Amino acid sequence: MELISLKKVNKKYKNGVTAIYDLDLKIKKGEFVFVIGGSGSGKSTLIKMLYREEKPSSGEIMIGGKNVAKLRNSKVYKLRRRLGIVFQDYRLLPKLTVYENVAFALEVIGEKSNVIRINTLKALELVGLKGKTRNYPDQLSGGEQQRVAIARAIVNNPKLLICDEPTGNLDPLMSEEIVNVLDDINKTMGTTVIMATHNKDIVNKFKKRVVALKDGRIVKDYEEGAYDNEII
Amino acid sequence: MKLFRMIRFGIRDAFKSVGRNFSLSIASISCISITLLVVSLALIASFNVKSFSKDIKSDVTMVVFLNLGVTQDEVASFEKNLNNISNVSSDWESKDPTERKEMLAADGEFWSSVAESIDNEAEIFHYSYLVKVKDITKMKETVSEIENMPVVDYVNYGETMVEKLITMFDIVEKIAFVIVIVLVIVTVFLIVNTIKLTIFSRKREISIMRVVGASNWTIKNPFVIEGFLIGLLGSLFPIIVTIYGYAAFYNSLDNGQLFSSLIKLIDPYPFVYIISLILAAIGVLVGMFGSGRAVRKYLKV
Repeated sequence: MELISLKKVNKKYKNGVTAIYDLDLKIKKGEFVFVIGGSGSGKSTLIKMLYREEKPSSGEIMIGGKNVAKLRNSKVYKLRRRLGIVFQDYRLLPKLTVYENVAFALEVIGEKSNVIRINTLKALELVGLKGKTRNYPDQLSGGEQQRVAIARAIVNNPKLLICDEPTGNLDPLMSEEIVNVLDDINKTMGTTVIMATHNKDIVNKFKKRVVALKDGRIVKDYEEGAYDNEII
Repeated sequence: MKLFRMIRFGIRDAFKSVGRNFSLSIASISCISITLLVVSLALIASFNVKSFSKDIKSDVTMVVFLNLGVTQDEVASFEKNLNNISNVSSDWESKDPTERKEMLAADGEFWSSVAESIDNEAEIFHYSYLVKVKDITKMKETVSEIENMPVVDYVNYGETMVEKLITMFDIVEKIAFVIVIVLVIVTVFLIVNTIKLTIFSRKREISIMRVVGASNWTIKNPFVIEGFLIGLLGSLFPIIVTIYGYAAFYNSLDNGQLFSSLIKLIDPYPFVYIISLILAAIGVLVGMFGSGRAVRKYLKV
């Protein structure tokens, strides 16, 4: 059963640049997929369309049986509550502690306070930051900050985790650590993970499904694929 | 329960934001205050003018004179016809020639001897009627209707003065209304811009809220409450000035009479409380509307 299914998706920006051409893609529940591609390949656009920051110009994006392409701006929150998003720049609130940053995601959707406490601690434990709940983001390393962001993304138990270059600001060792955390979440919680990256070592090491984009088209789609220099 | 939690969350954030952006909040509050002061003046002027014109309109009378030498039957049928005119107020007063003769006789020795020499008063004196109308704007039609009655000689009324006064009051009322509308629009713009500045520092927070699935309502909520607070605080000063200022002005005049006994101000109570309510409502609505609009732009991520 497909969790995500894209049919004939086109995206043309207002300035005339076409980022995605006629894209078809299916991702099953529980998969871990790397989306790779150079700058301007359209991978960022693809990721953004999955969480409806961008709307496709035409085509259909089904996520969990709902067409995201037709989602109105005021209803976007319904989609976002069912998925977790991790960004390259972490997007944490500097004035809140680690615990508060993660709890924030549940607070704004109106969860009960005891549910917030239990889920927040569980998520922080899963990413290995149980000992740093009272620290502020600027007291943490980049890798740790990204793990806080991952904890915030999974705290509402989403079926889908979307990561937009989560290792872009990190050194190789920390990058591996982050992807290990994501892999762990994928295996233990059965969360589908989609990760856009251009980190060659990571892709080669983890041997997951690889979707390669070039000029807005899928050029390769391999199970247990590797980063292919010739294509990108 | 969930709704209650969300509103509490919003109120907490609104207070935090007013405190955190203290100088900007003060700017918005004083901006609303100044506007509402002028709005208050315009409202007071407009309500009073409305009351003046109502007073004057109800005081406008005409004097109808019947032909000389009319018979008693003709007078009776005239009075019946007068009552049949819908615009004529039923409390008209009449004076017959006998009364006029007596008035003349009371005016000194010479006039009393003149009065005594009059045998047939009806040939010398007119029957006259003081008539009020219900609707001043139909005064002219009513006058001509009465003039066209066979026994009526002529009708007197202060046409030009009254009409000029009433058109003037109408203009004042309309100008006051336009001033209120323009000021409210200007304030909305100012509030939108001030709150935009406070929002700018929270842009990141808003975008993160959107990312983790907060509904637009949840995100807007603290800002709208902030606007509500700013509007309410901004209306305090003008309300105090209105309540004490108007009462003091009223008391400084002789029984609230302005220029002449014809123009009388509205009693301060409960008038000032009504104005205060209107001011608070305008302040709060403008604040809420302005801040709601200001956030809108940031909800498209």
